[in-house]
Amino acid sequence: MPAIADHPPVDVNSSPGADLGGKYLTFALDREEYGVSVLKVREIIGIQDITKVPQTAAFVEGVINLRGKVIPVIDLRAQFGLPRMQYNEETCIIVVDVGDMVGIIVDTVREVHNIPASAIEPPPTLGAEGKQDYFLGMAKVKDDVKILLDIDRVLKAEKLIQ
Amino acid sequence: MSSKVPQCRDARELAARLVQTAGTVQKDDLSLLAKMHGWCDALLQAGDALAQAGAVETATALSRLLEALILNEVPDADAALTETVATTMCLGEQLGVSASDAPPCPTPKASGGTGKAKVQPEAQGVVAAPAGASASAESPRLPVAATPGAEAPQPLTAGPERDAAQFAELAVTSPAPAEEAVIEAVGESPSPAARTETPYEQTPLRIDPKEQEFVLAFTEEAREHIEAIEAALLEVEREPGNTKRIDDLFRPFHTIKGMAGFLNLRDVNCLTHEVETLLDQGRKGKRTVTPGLIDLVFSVVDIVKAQVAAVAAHLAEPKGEVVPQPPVAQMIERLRDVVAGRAELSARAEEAGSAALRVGENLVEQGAVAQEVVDFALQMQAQGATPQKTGELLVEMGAVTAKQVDKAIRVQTQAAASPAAAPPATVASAKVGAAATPAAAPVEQSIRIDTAKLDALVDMVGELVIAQTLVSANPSVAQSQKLGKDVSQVTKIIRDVQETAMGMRMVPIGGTFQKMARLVRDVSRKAGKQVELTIAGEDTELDKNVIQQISDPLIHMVRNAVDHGVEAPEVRRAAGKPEVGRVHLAAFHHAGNIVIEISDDGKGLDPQVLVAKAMEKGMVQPGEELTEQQAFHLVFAAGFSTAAQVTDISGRGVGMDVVKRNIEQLRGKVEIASEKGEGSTFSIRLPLTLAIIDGMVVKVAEERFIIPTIGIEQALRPVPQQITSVQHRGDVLNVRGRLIPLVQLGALFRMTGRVDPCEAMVVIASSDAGPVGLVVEELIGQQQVVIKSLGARFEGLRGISGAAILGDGRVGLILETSGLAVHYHEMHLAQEKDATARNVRVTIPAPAAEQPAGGREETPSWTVDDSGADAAGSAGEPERQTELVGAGT
Repeated sequence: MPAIADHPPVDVNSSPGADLGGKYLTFALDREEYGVSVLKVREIIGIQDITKVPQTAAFVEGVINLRGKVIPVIDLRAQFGLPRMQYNEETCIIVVDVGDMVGIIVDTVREVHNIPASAIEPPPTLGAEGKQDYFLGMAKVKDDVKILLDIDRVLKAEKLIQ
Repeated sequence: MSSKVPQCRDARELAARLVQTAGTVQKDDLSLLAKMHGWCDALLQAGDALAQAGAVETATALSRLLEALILNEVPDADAALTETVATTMCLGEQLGVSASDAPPCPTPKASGGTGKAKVQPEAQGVVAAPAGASASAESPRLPVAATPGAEAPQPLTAGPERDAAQFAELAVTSPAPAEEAVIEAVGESPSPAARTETPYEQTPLRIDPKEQEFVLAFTEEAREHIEAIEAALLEVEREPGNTKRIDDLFRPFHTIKGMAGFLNLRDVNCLTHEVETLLDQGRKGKRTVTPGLIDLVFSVVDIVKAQVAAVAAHLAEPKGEVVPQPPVAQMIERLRDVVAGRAELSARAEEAGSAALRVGENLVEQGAVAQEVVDFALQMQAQGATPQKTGELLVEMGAVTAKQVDKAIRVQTQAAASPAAAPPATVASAKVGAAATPAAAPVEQSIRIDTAKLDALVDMVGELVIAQTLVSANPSVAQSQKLGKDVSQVTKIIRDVQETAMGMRMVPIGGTFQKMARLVRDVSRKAGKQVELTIAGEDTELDKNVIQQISDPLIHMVRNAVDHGVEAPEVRRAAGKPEVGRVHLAAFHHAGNIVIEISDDGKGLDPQVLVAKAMEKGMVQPGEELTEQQAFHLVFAAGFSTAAQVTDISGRGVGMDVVKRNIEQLRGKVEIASEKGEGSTFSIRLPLTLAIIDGMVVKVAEERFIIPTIGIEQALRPVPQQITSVQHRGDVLNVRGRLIPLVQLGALFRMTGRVDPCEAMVVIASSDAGPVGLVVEELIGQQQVVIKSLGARFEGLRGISGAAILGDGRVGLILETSGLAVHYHEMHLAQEKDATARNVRVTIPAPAAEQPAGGREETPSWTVDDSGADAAGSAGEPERQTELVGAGT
């Protein structure tokens, strides 16, 4: 998304970005950096054995045992249509709480940033319709741009069953 | 108790119960209606007394009304209920019970009438409600002497006064009545003659041994409701204007009222009824919620609490035949007066306790407890029912907290220290602290726990087991004998903990089945049929939630089986069946589900009649073809059943749409099997939400799956001779002459291609469509697993019923054989289509030319030819054909 930087600044007060400030956990996925509100994050675990579940969509990696609970794990790369990558020791599962718990596989977890609302701009209206619903906004942290994800939407949007 | 009393009394008693119950019954409260029906029938049996009173017809009519109401055969249930209540009242009058034998709580109908009549207090006069004095259980309400003056808030004559006769009563029963009784009266002075209402008369409370179990359950449940009431009351106090809060109060009161009415606990029933009326005024804005009102309700709660505690104590350790009762007449009168506007609510009692002499009084003054409760405690002391001190007793009753008693004692001792002190002998309850110790607390038979906590416990224990497995596997354990011994000891304990934790949510279904026995008895008698109920699998354990939710649907279905399934004795005889019909209830595990079956040997369902009926109703279009199952399932359609139908077809449809919905809410299924003239079987299949099963862990590709052991017939490694490939249906395994279709799990789940069954293992498991052979790589072993739901996100998976955590902490999926079989079949159909498409485009491969004759050369047709699945036709080239089909993947 190189277009982001060129995006004209918008009045943040009138945008949904106004109340978006807060702490975000950032992670890498392909060549982009994403952020997800820490309020949604339950924990971060390393990649582990995942039990495949048949009849599910391609981005569903399967299920894992999170201290006695069976939770689904999805590959965020696959869901975003990015090329798949071999999992390595950097690969992490971020367990998010979106009403139920879901693990999302990301390339690597970066850090937690405190992002003020003023640094958040609404998502660009580029690209395919619907996809940008996943985005809360674009945050400028130092020289980087992080894409803030509306993780509820990301995980609600698609059915796991084929 | 009825066996000892003469018949006449018996009839009156029954009528009294009816009248009383009619006041509270709801149109959908089937158990209560059924109970009323039972009493009504019993009343009809007591013919003489009834005939003398000329009430036979009324009773018969009532019986019919109730029956219609229970079976939902009335067009307008509300109207029918009103009529039922009216008939009951009429019956009561004829037998002369409404006024004396069992003064009824005002029925909804009656209270409406009387309530209106009492709007003007001056027209009706005022009745005293001296909150301070206690009415004794046996004495009828006595005329009360008026003492004019004092705090008269309304144009009413009022004043502190007390009833001499009651005082005398108290003097007999109370150890120190004089001091005890000197309590300010809040009531107003009476004009008893002007009262139109029958005063409440307390009757001795006896508990029918047959009902003991229910009463016990009631006491436990009531405690919870009381807690809810108290919490809600506090909310109301905080937000007096919020009528929604009052609504929250209603529900627990109503439940207690209903249960108390059902169990013949008149005092509680009547009290709660009056409170409801009072609250209703508040809810409708006819009355502002004042602190005085809240205090009054709290006092009622105290009395109810005391009564519940007394009943519980009686059940635990009966002292005599009669259960001690707190006096309630006074409170009921007071409530009625307040409701009718004859009395005002007193201002809130002051917080500070006065230097009165007694703990009980201090408590009453603190507003901690109602006077009646204190009186009751004193009465129990006087009867020698308990050696405890007043304070202790009150704490035990749950009426007050030990802290409150402490405070009261402090006040008391302060008073004693002052010059005008009471004699030291009256300093009671010094040992209240002891009363608060657990030993003195009422013994709870069971406690209720948030299911989320239980689930968390089970999860944690599961983790513990896994962690323990890791420890056991540590090589250093093998090196030290001592360590090894200790570890195995820990292992054993953990196993026990696990078992206990897992079993905690599970409840055997036996209790629910027992309730059905009673229902069958009642319904069959009413329907003039002879029905024998047999029960199997009572020990089958189900999740407590599931048991609760399955109870209502079961009631419906069992009633239907008796009422509409089983024929009348004459009909049965004519059909060559035994006169006594059979209804069978069974519960068992099957293919990963719990199945509850209700079967009868009655007339069965006739699909044609059902379809005709549905067509008449426009639910089925003419010309629409229905399978037998579809036809049977018409009975579940909403609005399928009406009163008219019940007679001409087997009429199952009484609330059956509700039944189906309830079961579907549990993610269950209902299936019907029926043979016209032979009977029908309704099977409720329930998934295991949380249940433990024995599972066979099997390996397929890199994954492990669990097959519920309950469905497994056998596991074997087949030899090539046993395998036959049926065209487009996959392989079939011949086990001693039985042909069992094989399901290639790896291929089905798209993990591997087809494997040669002879180099793998075949697990033969039962499914809805008969046994199937699951082809797996290897058997790993048998294990008990906790079924975990995969959650809503995975809803709709076919052939997988859930997941379980395996010994190493990884997740294994639990297979559901029937779903697998269906899924596999679908996959084959899809592949066939695919193959057809390919064959149209691609040149037919050589093997097809080698096919034995039979029109097979016309390639496009053979692939879709389902009926061509004869083994003979394809035996020539089994491997190749399977590959051909497989190539379509």
